[in-house]
Amino acid sequence: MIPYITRRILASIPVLIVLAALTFFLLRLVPGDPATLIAGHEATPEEYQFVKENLGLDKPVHMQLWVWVSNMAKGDLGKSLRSGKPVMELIKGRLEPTLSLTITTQLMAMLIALPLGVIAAWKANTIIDRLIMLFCAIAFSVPVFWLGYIFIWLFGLWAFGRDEAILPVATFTSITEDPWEFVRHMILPVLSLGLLVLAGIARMTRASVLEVLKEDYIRTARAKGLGERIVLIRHALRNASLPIITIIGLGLAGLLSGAVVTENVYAIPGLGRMAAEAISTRDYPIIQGLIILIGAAYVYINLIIDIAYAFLDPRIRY
Amino acid sequence: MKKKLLWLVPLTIIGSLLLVACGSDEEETVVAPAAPAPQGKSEPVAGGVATPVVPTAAPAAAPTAKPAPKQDKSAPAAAMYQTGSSIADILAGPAIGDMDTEKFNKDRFGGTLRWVPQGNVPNLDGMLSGTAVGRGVSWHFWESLAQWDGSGALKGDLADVWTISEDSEGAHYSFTLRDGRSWHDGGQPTSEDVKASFARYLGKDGSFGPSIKDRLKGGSVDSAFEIVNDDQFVIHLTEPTGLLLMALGYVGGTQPQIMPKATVDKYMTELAQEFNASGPYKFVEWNQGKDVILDRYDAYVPREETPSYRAGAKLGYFQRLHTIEIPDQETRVAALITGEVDSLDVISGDFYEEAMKHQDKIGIHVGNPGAQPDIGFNTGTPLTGFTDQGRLMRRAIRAAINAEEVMKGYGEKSLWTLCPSLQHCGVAWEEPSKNEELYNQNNPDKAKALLQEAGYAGEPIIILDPTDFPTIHPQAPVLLEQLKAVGINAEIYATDWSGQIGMLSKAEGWHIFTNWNSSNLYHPLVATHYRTTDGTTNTETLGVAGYPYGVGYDTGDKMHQLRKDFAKAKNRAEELEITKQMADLAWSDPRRVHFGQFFQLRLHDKNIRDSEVRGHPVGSPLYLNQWWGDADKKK
Repeated sequence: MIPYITRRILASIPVLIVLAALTFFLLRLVPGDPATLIAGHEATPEEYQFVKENLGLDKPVHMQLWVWVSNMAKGDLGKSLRSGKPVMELIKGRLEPTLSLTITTQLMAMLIALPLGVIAAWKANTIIDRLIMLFCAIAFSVPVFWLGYIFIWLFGLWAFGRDEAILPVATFTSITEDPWEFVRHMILPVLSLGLLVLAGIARMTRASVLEVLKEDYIRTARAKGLGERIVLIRHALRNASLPIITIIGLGLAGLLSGAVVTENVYAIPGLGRMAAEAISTRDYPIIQGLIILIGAAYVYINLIIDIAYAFLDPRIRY
Repeated sequence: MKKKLLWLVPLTIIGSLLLVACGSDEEETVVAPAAPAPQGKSEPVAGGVATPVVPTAAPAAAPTAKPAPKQDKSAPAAAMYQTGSSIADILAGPAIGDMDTEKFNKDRFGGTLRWVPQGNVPNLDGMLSGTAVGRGVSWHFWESLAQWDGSGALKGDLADVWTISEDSEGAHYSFTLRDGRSWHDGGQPTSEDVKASFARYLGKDGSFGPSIKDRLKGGSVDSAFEIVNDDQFVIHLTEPTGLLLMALGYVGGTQPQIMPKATVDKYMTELAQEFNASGPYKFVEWNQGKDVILDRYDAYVPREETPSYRAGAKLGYFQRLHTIEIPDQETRVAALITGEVDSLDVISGDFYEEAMKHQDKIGIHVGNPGAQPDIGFNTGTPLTGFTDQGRLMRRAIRAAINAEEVMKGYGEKSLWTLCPSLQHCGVAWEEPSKNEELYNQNNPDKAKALLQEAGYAGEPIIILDPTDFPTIHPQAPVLLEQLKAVGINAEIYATDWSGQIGMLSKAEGWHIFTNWNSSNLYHPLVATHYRTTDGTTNTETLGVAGYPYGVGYDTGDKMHQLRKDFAKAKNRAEELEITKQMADLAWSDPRRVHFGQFFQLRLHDKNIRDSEVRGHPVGSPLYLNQWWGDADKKK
């Protein structure tokens, strides 16, 4: 196992290097010049030139790449073009809201989706199954931003006819700062984002469990008198878990980078919002730093999933 | 059959939920517009500064208060100005409460004001990056030597008095710093600090910097800036110019803020990351992308004068100013209504109606004169460039425009107005820069005749449309139809703002960019219509800010000379006359065409008192002299 993990970690290095180089060049192909954005569109040539030189954007592209890569090798992702702050520091500052949102969403989704998926498979083709699948189809189809606004209206503006909002509609409170406020601030974003994730996991769980329930060993388990609960959880769910783990893992990586809409709607200062802001202002170092981070997250979450396979299925050996 | 009927259950539930979600408006009470706020008690009282010997270039925004033409007066003006006032009102004599009788009213202290800026805070160094949002936060802690007051005059800020003298060697500007000043770390601002800051400012500012640098005695700050002692210094120029004082109190663009010398030395050409300043609020914390926290600086000694616009006593009543970034406008308004934040800086006019519904909680401020939406031409391509055909094409496009139809995209009529002036209506420079005949022509016949004269053969005319910019995007679709109506083969190139900026550096691929600006408000030398490139880079193809072809600035020698003449003007009459010549030149060969003015909508908790003492400086808010009326909020 250890040689396998070592090999995979080493193999990820060229992947990240290629990703870094691609990101660097693709960004420079996109129309838009950060120096003009920072100087302001009514700046004079002197102001523009001043900004450009300060940002190092007057140097040839290959020089800029060299500076970036050599700094990155030392763990320095550079400085934001707009604020002058180190990218690493900025990313660290945005990590907690995103991780809070991601983990809470994933936990909520799993807690609800796994039982729903198992029940749907168990009661396949009954009204219960169809209701669950209808719910999943709707949850999967409703746009996250629309749901966000509906929740803001329901729990904030209308508040079911109350004078005061039931839940806060914007910003983020750290769990270390105020755990109760953290929970209150997380409910609406997690609900908005979680329904989509929940629907995906529930559908995958249903499909996988349904497949397993047709296997001979399930029939055997039932024949030897095991209760349905044990059959479903210990035998069916465990054997159906590989594709479920995969979708949960990829969902986690996707949430890390893809909660842009939710973070924007609820004003959560996370990585998704940071990426959106950086793209609209062509803040190259931040975009590059985030893509490397997200790329690494995908690579290593996949590695963790592969390792998890070996634990869940004794037949898999690396 | 039973099974089929069961499907109706979830569908009914979903349908009911949707009905509930969509049917809210009927339950909300629409409050009738409130009466206008009382007018200002008195004219601001000047004080504390010596009258300059040489009549200087007064700030652009002196009051003229002329009604804008063609504006529909049936708009609900009472609601519109219920807590706000026009720029003319603000500058002519804002409501001052009882601030003229005492410095601080101790009953007003306390509480936190949570406000949301119109965009993300990019940095807090207004001197190197003059973005409106960063400036709006940072001018609560940075100070300048001087500030504009409500009458358009320059008053002291960190400087107490100044005098100007002339002799055979040039002009000498002597300043004395005011008593009671201090840095937030306990030190005292000195002439050395001012010198260092002045040098940093001149190194960056492109609007006034070059003209001032040209006039520095000995050609450098070192030789021209004489330190008399910690409190006094003299700036020696080779000839008098109003631009020096104009620059020291400038509201837009880069800020002439005074920083400690140590900060300047450390961040001469980089964005400052240390904010040891001298203003009424001190920097506490900045979590980029989330919030900025400023606390009241208890040792701050305010000036004695009546507060007026950016000048006079700057009183920090709120214990804390908390700037909270909320990117989505819907959420911002929801957060204000639910009481999670207290004030919103510029917000889209689309929310005017929603705000009107919550007038019991929300105060509405419509900031006049706002900004001018306009288009600029690609002067790097023959079709719209500096060719005979290009000149005729640009005039044809201008003739085809129905400005009113474009301005309707900016919301209901109380949120915009038509204006024939290149430099905003309602400001000092309105009269000389207006042209009723050439503005808003809406003359298809004339446009067609000009197109024919230009030999236009149906080539595509591409309009850039930054769809992510809600205050620019309304222009392109309307303009497209108007150009098509006169036979122009117009097309829209949809992009984002950054993409448009990128396109402006190319000579091909576009002909018209869409935009708005507010710099026309301030002063002829910063107004976009009269800008020229610097003498050293003054070519037909090099434009401003790295847009070689795009921004429609004049590069001709005549405009350049007029700008130089303006800098030497001895009095307001001369300035106005030169402005008229510049405007006539700009009208005769349009590089940009403006549509009108839209006003900036701001919303705030109704419990905030005296929010109009200073008005809102253009583009950015100012939360000084305001206080919580509700005792609970002061906790």
